[in-house]
Amino acid sequence: MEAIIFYIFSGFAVLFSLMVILLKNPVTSALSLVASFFCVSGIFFLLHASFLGVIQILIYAGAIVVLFLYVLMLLNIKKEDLIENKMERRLGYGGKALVLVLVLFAFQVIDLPTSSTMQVRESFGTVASFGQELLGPFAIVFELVSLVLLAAILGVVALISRKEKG
Amino acid sequence: MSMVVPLSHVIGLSLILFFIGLTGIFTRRDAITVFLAVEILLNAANIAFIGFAQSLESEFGHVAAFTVICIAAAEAAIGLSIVIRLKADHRTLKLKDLNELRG
Repeated sequence: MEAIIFYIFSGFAVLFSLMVILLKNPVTSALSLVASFFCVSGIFFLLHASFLGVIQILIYAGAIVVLFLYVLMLLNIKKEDLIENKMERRLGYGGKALVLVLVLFAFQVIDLPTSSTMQVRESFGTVASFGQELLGPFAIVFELVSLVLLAAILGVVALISRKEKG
Repeated sequence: MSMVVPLSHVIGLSLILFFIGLTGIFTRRDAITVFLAVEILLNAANIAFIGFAQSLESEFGHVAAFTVICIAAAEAAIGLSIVIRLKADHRTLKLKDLNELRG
């Protein structure tokens, strides 16, 4: 049963991700990305990462994509700014290299263990367990991430408040 | 609680999403959609982290995925402010027209 749900979520995640890169209108692309993130969040829940599943919805779908939509609204993109998406013309040697890399990685993926009897403990992936891990052995990661976020805030303020060119 | 699907299928999904993201980066010509494709890439990496975390029963994968989400938030904020700058300074979002650094 859970396996069927996983495959349904995977199918929709792939479908919505394809819509992100194939549709012409950036607003539709951003909304498809939200749908894709919801599907991936469901997959996180199935893989016993409940805290990450919640964070995925809150931060990715709730904050990051809304930021994208907000900027799209600010920029007021007109019809002529939307360029035709000519896939076939740009998938030259780069596309062939991409397919080669995909095939090489696919061979690695096939070699992975396929056992389905893996047991995880009851508290795996809950907020309490994740918090103890994050603030215990990985506290330095937590501190460094806070520095990165501070740098991002300062960077955004510096970029936006700069005087007009010229 | 047992593992619902084989690890190879989870990593396979991650691989497919990563490939879709890479294709988006190489084929789209407006800056915003390229950023959206980068978000797909980061998300695909997160699926791989969570899949291996569950398979190895180690929460390091969760910490790594959490870090990736935070970096993605920072990247989106910086990237979108650069996009706003580009629009203000160059009046375009077409990546083809932004070739100032070309020698």
